[in-house]
Amino acid sequence: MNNWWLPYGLKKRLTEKKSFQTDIDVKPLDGIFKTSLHIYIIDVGCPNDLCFEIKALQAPQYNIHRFGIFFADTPRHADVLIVLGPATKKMIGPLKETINQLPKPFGIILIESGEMKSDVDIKNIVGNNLLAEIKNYENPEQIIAVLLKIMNK
Amino acid sequence: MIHSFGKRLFGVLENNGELVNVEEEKLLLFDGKDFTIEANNKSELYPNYNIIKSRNSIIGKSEYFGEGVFVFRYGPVTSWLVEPGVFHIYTYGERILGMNIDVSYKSRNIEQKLTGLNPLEAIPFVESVCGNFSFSHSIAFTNSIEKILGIELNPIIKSYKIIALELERIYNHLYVFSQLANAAAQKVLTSHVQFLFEESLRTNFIFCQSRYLKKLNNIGKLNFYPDKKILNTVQERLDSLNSDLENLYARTLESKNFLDRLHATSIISSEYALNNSLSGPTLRACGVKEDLRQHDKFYEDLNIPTITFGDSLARLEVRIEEIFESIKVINDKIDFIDKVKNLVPFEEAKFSLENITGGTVGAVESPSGIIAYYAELESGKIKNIYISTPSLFGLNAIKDSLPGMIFTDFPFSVDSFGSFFADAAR
Repeated sequence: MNNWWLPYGLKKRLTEKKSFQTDIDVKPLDGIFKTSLHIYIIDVGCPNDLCFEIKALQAPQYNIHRFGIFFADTPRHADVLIVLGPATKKMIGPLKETINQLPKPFGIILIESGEMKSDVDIKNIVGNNLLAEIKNYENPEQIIAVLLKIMNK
Repeated sequence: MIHSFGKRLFGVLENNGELVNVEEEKLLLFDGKDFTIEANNKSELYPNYNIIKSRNSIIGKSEYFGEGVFVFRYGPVTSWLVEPGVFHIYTYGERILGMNIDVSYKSRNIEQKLTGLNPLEAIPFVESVCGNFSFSHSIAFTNSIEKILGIELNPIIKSYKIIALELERIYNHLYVFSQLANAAAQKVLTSHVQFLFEESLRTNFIFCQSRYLKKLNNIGKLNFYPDKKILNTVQERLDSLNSDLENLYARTLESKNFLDRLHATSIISSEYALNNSLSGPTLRACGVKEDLRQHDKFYEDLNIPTITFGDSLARLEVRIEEIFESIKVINDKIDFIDKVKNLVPFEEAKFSLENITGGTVGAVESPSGIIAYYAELESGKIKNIYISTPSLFGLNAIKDSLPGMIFTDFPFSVDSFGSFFADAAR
């Protein structure tokens, strides 16, 4: 077995070449994020499958860095906040504080999963900053398509 | 010391989550094979009784004092741990002295919300307890209802359910592998494992049109039976996964850098594991050969991998060995379905929930350990329900095994248990 990782990885060609399209209504964000977009994730009480989907979004099949999409380590470095719901009552405070920390201009994407309803309506908290809402979540391609629409790509 | 009467405490049944007097509580006990419900007259003998009682708020009551000691609060909003949990870590800088874990930010009171529902209406809610264990939760719940109704599953239906359970095990184990590789800064390995993780989710979608195997399970039947073409595609994809993972695993075991980071972090002894109701890969990584599947006649010749060291590396190795075993089980079940589909009459159980009253325990070996549901019906509606999840005991083990470790060990420990706040907090 060749122990050198590089040729093992290069011959695999894991990134998929496809276009990402969606019918979801998306409000573009100022037109200043055409080349790069930094996203921050907050889970406000989702049943954890969406957290798994965020990990799947980082898989090499999607290779989101090629589009200039990066994960930020703090809301202060983020352009877009992705909220994973539905929300528990106790996460409303941390959600409001996270939104307060985002530098302007910023936008928010809301994704919900599962049968539970939010204890509080997240849309009231997010207000006009809501760029898109993914109601019937299917797979990471949907998230990429929404992000690319925000970037006008 | 392992307690003398051999049973382990998995739950404390109250009245729909409302606190009751200790004498009115009932204990959910497990003897290594079966669950029983017993009156609470010996709760003081179980070391994890208080942990179970505090499962909706803060796990642990540690307090440390000394020069330079402070509490470092990690969560509920962090970039590494996406789930909203809080670790209250006592430290004086680098070494972890102790911790308490707050699960309440993710508490959704699902048990109360299930009360009063018809069991058929309850299944989608049960699947929402923890999305990455949705099929296991659903199976544990329907097991308990099927027991109340006296339903014996048709072997073909049972085989389909086993395939879905093993598919769930595969993607969860790959997730833990990718998390540990990422925590150890093994970027190339992480990418390759994430590739396999995403492929396994796509295999789930091919199998049942859901990446997380939702809307598939039902009482005494499935909502959808994948045909031969789909099963063959699943087999082909699993063959490819098997060879890719064999290659990656061999490379991983040669990476001294990676192994050294996981080795000897968060060691759990078999005594601790048994006393604190740990199950699944965590228990098997301390040398205890216990798996609910070994008592199921539909899992013939199941190989149960065990390792005795009990550290993060052992837990990872057990999980990877289990992926190979799950692939074998799925292939066997697909061959079985193919062979007997025309020989065995394919009948779904017929039942009516009207006027059904009774309560019992259903359990399943989920990817991270035993999920048990005590469901009680009255006139066909859920009167009382209790959900015991492996993540509660996993988080407790994280709390107890991290003291003495340094902060760098924190992600290796947390990720290796495969415990989730959604599962623990319900």
